Amino acid sequence: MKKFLFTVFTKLEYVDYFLVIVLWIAGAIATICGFPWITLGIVAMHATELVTIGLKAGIKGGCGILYSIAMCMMFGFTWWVPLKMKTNQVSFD
Amino acid sequence: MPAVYDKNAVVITKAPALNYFHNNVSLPYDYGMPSYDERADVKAIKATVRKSLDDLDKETGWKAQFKGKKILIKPNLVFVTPKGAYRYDYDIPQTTDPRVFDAALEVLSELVSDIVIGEGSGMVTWTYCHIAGYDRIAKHYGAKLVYFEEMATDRYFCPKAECGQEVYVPTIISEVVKGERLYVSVPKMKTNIYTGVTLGFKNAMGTFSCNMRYRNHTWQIDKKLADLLYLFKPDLTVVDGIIGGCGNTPGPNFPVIVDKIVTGTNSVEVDRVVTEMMGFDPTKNKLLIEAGKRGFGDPNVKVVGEKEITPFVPAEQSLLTPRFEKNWPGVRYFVGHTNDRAPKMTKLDNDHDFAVAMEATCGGGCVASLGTTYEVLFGSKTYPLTKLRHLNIIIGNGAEFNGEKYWIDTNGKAYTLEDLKKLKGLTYVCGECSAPAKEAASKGFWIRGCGEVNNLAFRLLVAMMPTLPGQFDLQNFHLIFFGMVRKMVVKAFMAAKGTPTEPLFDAYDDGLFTIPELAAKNLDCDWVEAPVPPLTKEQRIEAVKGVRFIAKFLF
Amino acid sequence: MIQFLEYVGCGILWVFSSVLTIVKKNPIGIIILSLMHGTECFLIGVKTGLKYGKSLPYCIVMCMTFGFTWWLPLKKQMAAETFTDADFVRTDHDFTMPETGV
Repeated sequence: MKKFLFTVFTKLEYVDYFLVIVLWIAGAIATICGFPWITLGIVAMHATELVTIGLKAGIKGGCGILYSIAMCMMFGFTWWVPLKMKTNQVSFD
Repeated sequence: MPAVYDKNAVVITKAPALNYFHNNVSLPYDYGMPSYDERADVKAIKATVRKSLDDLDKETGWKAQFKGKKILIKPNLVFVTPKGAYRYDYDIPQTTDPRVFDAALEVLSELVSDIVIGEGSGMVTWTYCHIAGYDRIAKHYGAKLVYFEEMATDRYFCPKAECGQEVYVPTIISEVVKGERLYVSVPKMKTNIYTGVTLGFKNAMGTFSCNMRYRNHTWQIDKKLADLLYLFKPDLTVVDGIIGGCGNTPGPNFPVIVDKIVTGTNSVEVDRVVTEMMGFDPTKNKLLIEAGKRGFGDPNVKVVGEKEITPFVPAEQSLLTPRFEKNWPGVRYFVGHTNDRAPKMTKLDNDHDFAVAMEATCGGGCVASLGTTYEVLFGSKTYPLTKLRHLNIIIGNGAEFNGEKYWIDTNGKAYTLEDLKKLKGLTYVCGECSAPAKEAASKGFWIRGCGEVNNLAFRLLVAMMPTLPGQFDLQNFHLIFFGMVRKMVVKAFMAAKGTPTEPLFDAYDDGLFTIPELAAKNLDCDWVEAPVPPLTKEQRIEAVKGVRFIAKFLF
Repeated sequence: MIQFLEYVGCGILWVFSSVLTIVKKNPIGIIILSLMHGTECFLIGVKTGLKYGKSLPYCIVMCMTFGFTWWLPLKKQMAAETFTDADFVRTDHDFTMPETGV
């Protein structure tokens, strides 16, 4: 099951990125309409992921610090899950 | 218990002569900060409203009635369109001035225990409350802000009502009906194309959801509004007459400097006094006549203050006026009715006055809605007035003469259906009653239904040339769009839950919504609670399907 | 309308920077935008927004997303809506009836 999920994430990486961008746009529109909580929710979630997993996974996977920060803050787990998969940071045993 | 007054009074209070045009439609950004209270206009408005309400208390003792009670306070938000929405260089004055509303609430908050601010503008109340700043007022006073069109409804039967015996109102209104909450109406002093003026008790139209509005939104509109007084009436009315609005409201109207606040305990009498102050004869206003006929006025009312008259430009419930013909020379208009109210046709060659009398047969219906839409078009920034637009408009089932049906033009000249079919250009046939003329309509321009304003207006926009109507203010378009989506989602959710926000659309013609058998059993009561049985799964699905983004378009 | 276009422009800039980061693995656009908007937010954005009566979360998100395209028009609008006693003195020019055929 774990392997299946990781595979799906990896295969759909660009689709995931696109969906996250759409979510950011929706958040921006909601903020313009006076509801900033979608954007703040995404930021809070991605920041937590960055500190707990993202940065570590990025550096281990050979990415630069700035790149890791930017990607994790923008795309959250849709970035670090495929990265971990591709750089063999996950064991399926 | 609703407020019971030994004697009623109307108090007219004059405000200092200042320039009140800044922020008369939307609150200033510094509302709630010390700088707001220091503004000269705010200080003057607060002092005037307080004085008026204090003087009213001396006459009627209304404050004792309100002490510790719960209240529902309703402003009148029509289209909240600040400067820049239309081609005019001022805020469109058809919304209760939020500064006046705030001043009234300041006084009331010193007395009452619980405040609910409620409004249903018919379009996007959430958006309008946001633009006008009513959400900030609610927050400031710790009041709850409710949007009537998004609330579940309760059903009532009003046996004494002439045309609106079955009424659906938002649940919060039930608290008013049952006397658990007092009702304060804070309207704007303004004219209205449907009813002549729109003041204290006409403000109750805003408690109706769209499908309830469409019912009898016809020549019977005055009766329908007066009938609503059987169910509930304002316990206190505060009329915002700082800057009035004249012309064809709810189309973009024009400001009138009045500098008055009028308060009172009997809304029919307040409306009578204010109508007079606007330069109109209240004995000729159909709405006030209907309310008076039902005994809701008070002939012993005391009027305090000077009834100084400020002439308002009347609303024109007609497309046969010199102004309309001057502004829209490309529009040809044909009207003909056969019913109990219409003048009888005795010859083929009639005059302009006959055409006017024929048109007045259905004054509060399609004609008023068309007049509003043309006013919107005229004021819309994107509408090219320099280009002459041609359109033929036909209204009515035709006036009978010698077994043939005729529609007459502005000069009184009669046309048969065959003549109308030969008209050049686009032909727009308006209203369900106009079915006999539908063959003359261009494809898609027979406008079905009776009193379905949006249906009629949107297709008139298409017929005259698509444009962005001024009320879809580009500055706030995102809020309007978001508000419409929000409204649709909430209404669909409520319907799916089995607590729909309105009855299904049923205003297909001008038939009455009466309950004859019930009226016979309960002749002596003003209203009877008539809970709707729980909806079946199929009914819920129907209710969800009935929720529309803009309106139900009938083809 | 102009402001709407500015917001769209800013959105395009963000999307372009994101694509650059994903495809070219170059986060420079995102970093510059974030640093610039962060500085604006800290120095002027939040202050302006709060003064205009907006909530703190709203100010932070708007300024971080749109930077000066948000706070500059707001500042201008605030200046236009700040009145003195002289603005409330009644004159004959407070309102002129437009040409509408009335």
